[in-house]
Amino acid sequence: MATLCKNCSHALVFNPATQLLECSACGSMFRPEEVEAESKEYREDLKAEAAGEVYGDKEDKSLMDCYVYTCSECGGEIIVNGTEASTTCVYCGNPNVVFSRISRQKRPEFIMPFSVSKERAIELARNAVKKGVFVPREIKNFSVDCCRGIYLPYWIVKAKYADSVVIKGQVKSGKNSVTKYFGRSGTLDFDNLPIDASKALSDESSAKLEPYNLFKMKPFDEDYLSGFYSNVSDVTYSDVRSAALLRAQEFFNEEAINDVKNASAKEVISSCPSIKVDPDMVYAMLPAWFITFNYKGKHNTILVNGDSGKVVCGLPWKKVLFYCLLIGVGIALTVAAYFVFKATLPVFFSGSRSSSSSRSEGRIIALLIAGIVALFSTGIRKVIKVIKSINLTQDKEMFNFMKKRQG
Amino acid sequence: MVDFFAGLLALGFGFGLASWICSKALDRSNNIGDSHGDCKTYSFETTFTQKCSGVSRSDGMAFFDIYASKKIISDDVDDKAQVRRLTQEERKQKARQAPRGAYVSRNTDGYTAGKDKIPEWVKRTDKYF
Repeated sequence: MATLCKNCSHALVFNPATQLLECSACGSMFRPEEVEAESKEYREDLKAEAAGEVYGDKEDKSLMDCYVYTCSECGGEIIVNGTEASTTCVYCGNPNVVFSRISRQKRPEFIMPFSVSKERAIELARNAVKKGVFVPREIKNFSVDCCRGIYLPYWIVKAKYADSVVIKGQVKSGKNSVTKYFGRSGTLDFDNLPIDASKALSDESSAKLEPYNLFKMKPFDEDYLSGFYSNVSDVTYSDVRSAALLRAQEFFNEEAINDVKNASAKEVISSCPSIKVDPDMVYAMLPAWFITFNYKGKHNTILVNGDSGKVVCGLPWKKVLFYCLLIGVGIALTVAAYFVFKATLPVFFSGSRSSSSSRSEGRIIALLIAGIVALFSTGIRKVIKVIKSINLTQDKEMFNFMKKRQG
Repeated sequence: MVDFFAGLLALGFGFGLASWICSKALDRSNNIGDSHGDCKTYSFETTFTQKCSGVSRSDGMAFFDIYASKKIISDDVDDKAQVRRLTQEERKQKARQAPRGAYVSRNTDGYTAGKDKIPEWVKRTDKYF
């Protein structure tokens, strides 16, 4: 149901710029916490129910997994899937919150209201895209297919992570460098790690939207959902634990590597991670804008953090420009390096040198070759990272997560 | 011979450096917002209880064998169950079961807002560990 204006009974919409509920018909404005709505009366005594229990038997696989509501404004049929909590009526465009049927235990405790408006989100995305040297002109001037503000469900997790790692590193010993091993065993405590609670959105995409300033969260009020889309949590404890473990392992390894001093080329070779998650997690909704555009027949989705305005996307690149630049710069550097090496190498190859100095010269050449390999591998790794990011932006599941909504 | 070797090294160095420069530029240009919160943002606290440094591979693996098994921890939640909010009753029970003196004050560094007022969601789960 929609929250209606006290003065004219038109549906109210939350405005991120003013942080108020506004009526487009009569111009009235209300604070979300001041508005009384029937849907706010949650059934406190209800236990958490599975979607099947709430919406009926879902065993029949021949039926589509969706539910039909009636728009409180025009009476039109609103179709939502099992995890949607708010949507927009396809007929009259009015916001509708379908939360009232969900028990208290499925209802979020906190919400971070949108503070970035739709127009601002598009502007931020355009500004971020415009700066790219390798971004095609069509993308720089992209036309927005669809822009939707979606509240993503998150579990804010408190956990204790324990691990023992062995790190391999190169340590200088006189003029040589030798491989040494370092052991680190310890714990990592985290109090407020947000873990995405929606299966439909990949953890990788939602992690990139972070950080969120959790101190801006407010007690949940469904009026904040007005005018936006939202999903409810559909993850299991196992999903949350795996996601928390992965994130914690990343941080622990980073800290362990940083703790090892006086060594280079450090890498973790063995680890034994385990985690204890507090089952009393904080359920919150965090805001994100999903902006889609079409490029060469592929859907691209740009994410914008609805609070900080951080833009997240991987954009297709001008391949011709990239390879031309690579070859051009490569040739220029090769010519320059050739003259340098031609002048210095004869010194190394002259036979009138002692065995110790020729050994050190050999080491310099070996170091140079290792440097070349490192440059190539770093370059290739970076390109792979960009390609992964592009694949995430063009991910069909993410597009469907956003697109398959009414309105 | 020297010319050939210098040419070979120059080719590797030139294109290696070019690929590094171009890929870095590509990453900056087309991979937008590829980062997430750090330890400070989420009040992570790492404590290393055991350390060994600059040892041989066998000693390193011996360290791992000794401490890895000692460090395994686990929780007792039902893996397959959907995550949900605990009821007031469950919360009270959990608080009763928490070990004495388990209160851990939260580190609020990294946040600019709300320093004077710790939100309720921060306070609530403080007694678990």
